[in-house]
Amino acid sequence: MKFRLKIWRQAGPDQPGRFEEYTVDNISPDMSFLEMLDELNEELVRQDKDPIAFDSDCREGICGACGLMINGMAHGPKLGCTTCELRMREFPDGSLITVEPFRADAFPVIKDLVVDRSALDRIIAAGGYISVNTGSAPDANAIPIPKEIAEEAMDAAACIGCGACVAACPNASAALFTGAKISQLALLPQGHPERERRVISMVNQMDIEGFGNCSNHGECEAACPKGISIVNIARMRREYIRAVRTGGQVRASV
Amino acid sequence: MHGMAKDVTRKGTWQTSLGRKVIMGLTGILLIGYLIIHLTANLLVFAGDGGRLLNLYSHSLHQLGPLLFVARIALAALFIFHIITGIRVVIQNRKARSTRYTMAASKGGPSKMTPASRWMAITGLILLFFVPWHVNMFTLGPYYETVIDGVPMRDLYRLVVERFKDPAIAFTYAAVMLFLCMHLAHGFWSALQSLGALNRRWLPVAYTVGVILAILVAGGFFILPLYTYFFVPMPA
Ligand code: HEM
Ligand code: FES
Repeated sequence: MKFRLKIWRQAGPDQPGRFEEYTVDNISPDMSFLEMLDELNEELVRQDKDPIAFDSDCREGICGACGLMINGMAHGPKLGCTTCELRMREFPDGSLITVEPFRADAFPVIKDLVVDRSALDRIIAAGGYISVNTGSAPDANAIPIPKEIAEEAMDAAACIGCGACVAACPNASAALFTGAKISQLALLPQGHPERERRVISMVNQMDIEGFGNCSNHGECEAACPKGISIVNIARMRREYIRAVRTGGQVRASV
Repeated sequence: MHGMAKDVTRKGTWQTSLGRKVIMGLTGILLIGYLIIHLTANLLVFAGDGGRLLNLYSHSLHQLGPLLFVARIALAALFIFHIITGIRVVIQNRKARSTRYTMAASKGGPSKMTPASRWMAITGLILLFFVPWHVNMFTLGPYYETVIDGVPMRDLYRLVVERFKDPAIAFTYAAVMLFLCMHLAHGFWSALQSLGALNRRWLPVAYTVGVILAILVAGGFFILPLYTYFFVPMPA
């Protein structure tokens, strides 16, 4: 297959960027989008040009490192799929493909298509954990959890932190990411002792990082490679409302 | 052990990204509640009784005296609160992505992104201009008097028919209602979602109900001026 590519090039964080056009040929339809970019980069290196910087790690859809805006869609046109899992057969032969970095002021561009997503890590650090006394591992079934709850928590926990939700949101909101992280803990008893502090702390951090507000467009759910539902955003809001009403303090535990 | 306790000095407020959406949702849903009551009353124009019921209804409202005053202040407050919060939300959203995409498209699937959801600020702005025009035209308009069952009262019906006999007014009014329809089509379910009221079961229900509600409410207000223009005779 043959493609024309319009790719965002930017030398560094505060440098101006621009689109450049490339052509790739002899692309197998079974190649992933990243493998296609690898081919292009090898060609650029052969021509002694600067290869295109993009992120990737596992290349099997589990690490969340990859993530490109392809033809205006986060991770490209296919639902439930990361950029590394996206195959070139999804695109018509000979077509023009536009590739941009995930754009949000909270995700500054580092180089070309690579953005700094550590804002998401700081949201986690603000409260996306539980505090326990370490020691011998507790028995897995010591706390019985109904299957539906466990499933719901597991679905929220499928988030790989790729940032596609932010990239796809017209407001660059991190509500789905934060909602998933809060939900996975709010659903389980282990998350309950700190739930009020957690939601307030994480929501504050989300705002400090400069993400936008959620307008319920629901585009994040479509962009999410793990199909995480916006019901997690509603759950985060319930958690937030109860936390504000109780003054953000932990309920008396006696 | 209690890592979070040390770090958290801030308390939750209604002025975070989530808090503001609670305000938007609450004011929005109450405004929708008002619209439903308002429409139900206005449908009395269709009664074909020369405005008897409409005038009686309006008269009974005015009998409430100070209560009506309080209700009007509350309604105005809701409206203003909704607008101010909406503007702040939109400004923050624009700041969150100062470099815009060259190409942006919906992925479809479960996405609820529609022109209605994208144009909330624009349709809201149109309503912002519409409401004062409307209040000025009717509530603050000329005071015609009529006598029903021996009681003198304001002839609101005459005013309404008279205004809607002007094609410029009737058609402008109807056109604005199309934008109201859009605002409500996304607004209803969005408000419930902003208030955290939805889950897997109720989210699709709320979405569908919102679209139907928008068509019914905005549709009612859309037909009213056109029906009056074409079919209602001018009162003697
Ligand atoms: C008849 C009057 C109005 C009604 C019934 C109404 C209703 C609603 C509802 C129910 C929502 C959804 C709230 C949410 O998503 O949480 C909403 C959102 C919104 N409204 Fe209104 N509204 C009205 C007038 C206005 C006006 C005058 C403006 C101002 C310019 C406005 C601006 C907005 C904006 C910007 C949003 C979206 C907020 C966001 O992006 O999350 N609305 N409205
Ligand atoms: S490279 Fe790990 S998810 Fe794509």
